[in-house]
Amino acid sequence: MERGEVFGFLGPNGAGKTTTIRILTAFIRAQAGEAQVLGLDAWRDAVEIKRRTGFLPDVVSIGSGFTGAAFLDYIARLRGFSGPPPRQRELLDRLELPRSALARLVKGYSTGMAKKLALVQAMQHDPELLIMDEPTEALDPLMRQVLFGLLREGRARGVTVFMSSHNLSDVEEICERVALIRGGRIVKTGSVEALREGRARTMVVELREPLDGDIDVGGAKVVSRDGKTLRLAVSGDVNGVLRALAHYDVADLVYERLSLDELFLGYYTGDGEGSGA
Amino acid sequence: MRSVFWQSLRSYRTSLGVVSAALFGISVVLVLTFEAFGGIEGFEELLKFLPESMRAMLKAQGGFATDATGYIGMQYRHPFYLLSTSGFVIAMSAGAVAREIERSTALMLLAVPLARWRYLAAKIASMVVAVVVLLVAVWAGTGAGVAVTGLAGVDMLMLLRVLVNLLALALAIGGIATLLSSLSSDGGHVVSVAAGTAAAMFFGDFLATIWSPAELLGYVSLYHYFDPLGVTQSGLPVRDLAVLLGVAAVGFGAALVAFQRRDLAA
Repeated sequence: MERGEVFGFLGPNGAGKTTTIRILTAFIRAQAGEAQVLGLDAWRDAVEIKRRTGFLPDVVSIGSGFTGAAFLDYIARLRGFSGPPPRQRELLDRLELPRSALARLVKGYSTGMAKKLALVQAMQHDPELLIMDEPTEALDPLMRQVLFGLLREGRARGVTVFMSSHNLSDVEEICERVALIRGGRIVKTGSVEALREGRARTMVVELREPLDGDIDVGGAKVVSRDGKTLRLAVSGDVNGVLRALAHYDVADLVYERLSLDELFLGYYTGDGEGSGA
Repeated sequence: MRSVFWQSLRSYRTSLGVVSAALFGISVVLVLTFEAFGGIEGFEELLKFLPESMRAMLKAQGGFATDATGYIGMQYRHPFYLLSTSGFVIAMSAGAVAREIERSTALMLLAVPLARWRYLAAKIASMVVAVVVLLVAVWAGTGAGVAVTGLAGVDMLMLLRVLVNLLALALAIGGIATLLSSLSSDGGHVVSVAAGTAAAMFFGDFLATIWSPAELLGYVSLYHYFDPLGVTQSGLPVRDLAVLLGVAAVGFGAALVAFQRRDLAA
């Protein structure tokens, strides 16, 4: 990972995302190899790393005896602050956690409220690295956008973000680069655009009249053919396909960007490197 | 570290208050019962009629209390005191590590720049303070009972020594329970194993007292090293204290090392 980038960490359930994150945050020790965070050994230098990072776990569980304010105060004191950390007030305002909510016991919080409180504790000390496991889970679309805004602003200040997510559209929206993990191993790393390169995209062609017999689609692969509708898998240059289609009476054509979902499925339904189809 | 210490005490303040109040109350009543028996003579008469097994529970099979101090000190071996103090340290030990992992609260509490062993050390310190509070409640209750009844000849300093012995016993049990907790991710499991071990040791000590073939069993029981009557008659036994505090130190020390090294996965 480069400093100052938002890095997405993707993988299906059981792929090893949370295990990796817990190794990076020194909750578990790597059985082999080594893990480095901010140039330091993740296990040996855990205290120094934690001083410079903020962590949002996948499971947000806060002791039932805490009020929201007492919890934030406790975490702040454990981080060495004698008063509210520098960004606490701003985060509470933007994540819409009013004083009245903070005065209540956390055990009465909804899942979304608890998540917002956990986000504040992870970011209130303005860490240089944020490690977040499923940060958007349980957040409504509005709060998701608020979080993305905070992450973008953090990035502009040089904050590095490492986040895992099941929500591919979130990753697509906020991450510059992603890593795909499968069976505990990284199978692909790069920008979302770079991951798309060389992968087949789907083109749906609607003809005015159904055609009989073979059809020339300029090197594309016909995935399905249903009356007047053709579904094509297009790899490489699209111009050849368009030139071939010009010989037919086309009523409509849809050629969408390859979604991260399709990309994801391509990598995980194949043999590890992805089939590209 | 101070924050963890105070937070730990704060989280137990209600139960600590309730148990302390109960211990205070029972200690007052305990003094009142002395007069109800008709003083030390009446109590001796009663003990003569008790079966040996009952006397063994109080570790009074070898000789009786000869004064009010001995009577009160002997009562500190009542299961109520042993259960209260042992139960409290076991609950705190289970909550120190295993329950935090089980409930996933450790994920945020240990994401801060604090070495794990320091976190646990603060929890252990709060446990020591909590037990001291409980025993101070016992001592204060006894003192209140003595003041209310005007009972003469009670050596409160001697009773404090008995309670120091009880403190060492509670810490030894706490050391074992904290070690179990630092190795586990299941608070309920820690409570059941620690409580089972304590119960087995109590039974072992009892058995060793009433049945000579099982005498050696007594030495592996922590309860063997808490003899209030012996303290009131011969002073604080250095050997017993050394054994109990040694077990506590080894338990706590091993717990610190284990917690620092282990994986924290629920």
